[in-house]
Amino acid sequence: MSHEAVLAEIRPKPLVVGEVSLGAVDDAVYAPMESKPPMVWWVALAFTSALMLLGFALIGYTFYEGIGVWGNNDPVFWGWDITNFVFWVGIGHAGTLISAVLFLFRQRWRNAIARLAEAMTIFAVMCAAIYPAIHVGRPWFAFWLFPYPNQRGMWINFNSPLAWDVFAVSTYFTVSLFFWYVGLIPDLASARDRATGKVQKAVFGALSLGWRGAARHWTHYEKAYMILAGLATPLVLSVHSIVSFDFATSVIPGWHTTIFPPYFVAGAVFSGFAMVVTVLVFVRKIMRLDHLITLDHMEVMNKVILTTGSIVGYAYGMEFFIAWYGGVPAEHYVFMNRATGPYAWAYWTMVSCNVIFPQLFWFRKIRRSIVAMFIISIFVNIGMWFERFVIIATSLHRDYLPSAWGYFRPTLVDMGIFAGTFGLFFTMILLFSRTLPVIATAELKAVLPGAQPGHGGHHE
Amino acid sequence: MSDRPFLVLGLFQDADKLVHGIRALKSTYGDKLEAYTPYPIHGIEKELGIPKSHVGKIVLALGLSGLTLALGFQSWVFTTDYQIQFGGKPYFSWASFVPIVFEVTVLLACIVGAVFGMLVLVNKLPHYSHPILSSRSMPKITRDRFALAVSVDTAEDAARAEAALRQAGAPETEVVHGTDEIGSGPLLPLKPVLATVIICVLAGLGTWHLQRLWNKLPLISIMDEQTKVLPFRANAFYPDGQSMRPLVPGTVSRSAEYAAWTTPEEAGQMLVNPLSADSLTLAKGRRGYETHCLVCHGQLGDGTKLLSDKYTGAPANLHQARLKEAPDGHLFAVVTAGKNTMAGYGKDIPAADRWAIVHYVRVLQRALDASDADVQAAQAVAAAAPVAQGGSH
Repeated sequence: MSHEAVLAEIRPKPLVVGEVSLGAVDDAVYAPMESKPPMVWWVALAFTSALMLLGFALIGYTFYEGIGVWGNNDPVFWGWDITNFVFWVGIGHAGTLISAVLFLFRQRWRNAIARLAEAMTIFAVMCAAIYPAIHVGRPWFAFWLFPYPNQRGMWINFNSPLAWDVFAVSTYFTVSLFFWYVGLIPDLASARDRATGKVQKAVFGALSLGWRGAARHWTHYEKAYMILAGLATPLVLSVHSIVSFDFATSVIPGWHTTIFPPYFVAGAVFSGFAMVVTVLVFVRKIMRLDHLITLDHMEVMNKVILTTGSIVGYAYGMEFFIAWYGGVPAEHYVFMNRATGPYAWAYWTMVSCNVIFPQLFWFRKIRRSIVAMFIISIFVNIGMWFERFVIIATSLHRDYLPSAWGYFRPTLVDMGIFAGTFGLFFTMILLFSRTLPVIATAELKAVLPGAQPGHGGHHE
Repeated sequence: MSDRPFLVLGLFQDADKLVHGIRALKSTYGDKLEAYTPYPIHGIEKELGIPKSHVGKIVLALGLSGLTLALGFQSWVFTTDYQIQFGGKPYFSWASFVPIVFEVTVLLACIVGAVFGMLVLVNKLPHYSHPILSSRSMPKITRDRFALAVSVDTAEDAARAEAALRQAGAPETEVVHGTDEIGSGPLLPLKPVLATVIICVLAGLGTWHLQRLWNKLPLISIMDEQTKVLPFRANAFYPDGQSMRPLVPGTVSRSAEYAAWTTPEEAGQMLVNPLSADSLTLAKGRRGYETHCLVCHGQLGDGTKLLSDKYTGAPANLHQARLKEAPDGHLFAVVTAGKNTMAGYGKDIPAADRWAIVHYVRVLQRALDASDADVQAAQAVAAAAPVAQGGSH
């Protein structure tokens, strides 16, 4: 490779393709909000909202009949409900990671994808939050999860990881929502000023709080945004750590391991990025934003998938090593059973989807191929779902005595509710993509060439 | 909205020109300068002389409050208000409080500190009535123009500022009229906000009223409706429609007594009091008498009832000669089966207790008609053990 080629490779890539003016960013991003949706959008919305309604109907059926309509039973009392909860919370990790962690590391390529990733976080946590609420069996008492003074004179158990979970997930949802909203305010002001309809003007006007872009406001805004990023960074790491405590603080072989918190966080980022790639592949094409969300952005995301996928693969290996090295027969048995027992099919699906396929991203051609990255991101989504299923089902299904052994089978209701959460997720994405700016225009404009005052007007 | 000139805006085409404009006007206008930009321009705050943001201090204060609140609350609950042992750990297990302390700290610091503090306390938003919002320039500012604003008071000021801005390189200027008093503008949606509040209050009251019916909803019957068998209920499972099964013929209760007599006189002939009249038996008899018999027959057994006069029955005087002479078995039979309006107590009082009551009736009969010898004997007993009488006297 020549000297110039090496330099070209390591020099920062342009954040947009071609010459893009400030106004052109707005025109591209706000176009979907100002035009009638295409037929494809309506068809997609009809499909996803039908799926969502199916899920809600089945949740209603569950409330009426009780959770006996699910596959959970002795000895696997945590079935698809907790599997899906962990799956969705994990997907919700990409948004805050992109918007907070990459912000702190001054990764400016994040500006184009942060908004959509944050929105996905919020929608994914909404999907996740359904499960703890409905799996308690009597969801109208779900508020008992929170500590409040009551006639029973009781408080929740603050020593329980399940109570930590309530605080972690609700804090994460609230902070993500407000982080997203704070980022939206300048864009809502743009939308307000572009709006022609009376309703849009009133709604965007009210939501933008009268934002006027004053330099004094920007000073405080940027400070607050940086602080939010700084606080959201440990928060995003804490959420899946605490979710992993649900398992790790118990004494079930296969769950009781100290590797869980970092392993869960890496897996969450892995699955979250995969979902972001899955969605972005469509969004950038259909909404004609491929000059703003560039192939370089997608390639960087694939590198993150490769890295976190390798961490997850390392964790799988380390679990087996510790099970052997620790010398606890029960633990040893659980892991051997995981790889060779009745759930071996699930285990090896997980390993191939999470460890083997992402390794293809070592090749630049594959990292930059839209078709390849889409297929691999789907594999990762499947693999990460199976990871949670394997952890839950294989650790529980063979209790300490062979008389208490069982095999978990989901029912149609389980599957329908899970499909319904996908319906909810993609319905929200579709609605979001036509009602709010999917790219943070104020942030993107700020990193365009020549956007900041400098020596000679242009700087990188 | 007043017609007073308030701001003069000069619109620049890029950030560099804006910075040059600020440098040109800074000596003349100083604090009266403000910039309005579509995105944050780095370094502009130094040019404008804007002090460093103190949002960080607000966030720190809120974060520390969250930390104190969560740690203090959990400690109070588990050491004072609700002491429960979990897994043999001490009440104050600080390590397991850490996750919630962390989450509450971040929550308060982020939402109340960074978001609310920055938007509301520091930037004084929402501010729907700022005159610049309804200016011609605002849509350009949120798109791709960089406005330098000069605060002015009079029309002459405004004209001078416009000239200065044009001189500094702004191709476009605008004079904005009005005042920046919060809440005076047309953009504050007062009516919708008020309507929302009223709807929320009504919905709350309605829900509060409906929650009485909550438990009656078939969905939420709190396990009231169950298919199990309850005593003395209808039950569709059995052909006779009753939940309780008839006894097998010939079943005898373990506590059943077999009565060979039919009348008190007959019982007097047949039965002998099986208990000896010792002090324990008498105490038991007294207790039984005072529980069951006293209301009608009176404290002394003389038939002075404690009941209202509306009860017209005439309880027997237990001191009449007929009853004094009647054998124990006779009294026992009356207590067991009842007589006239008196109900039988056979089901309520165990047989042994009924015999004890008969003994106590004999004590009453003798006490009300005591001989001198009885009185002397009682005085001798009382002198030897002053508290031997015991009871309520």
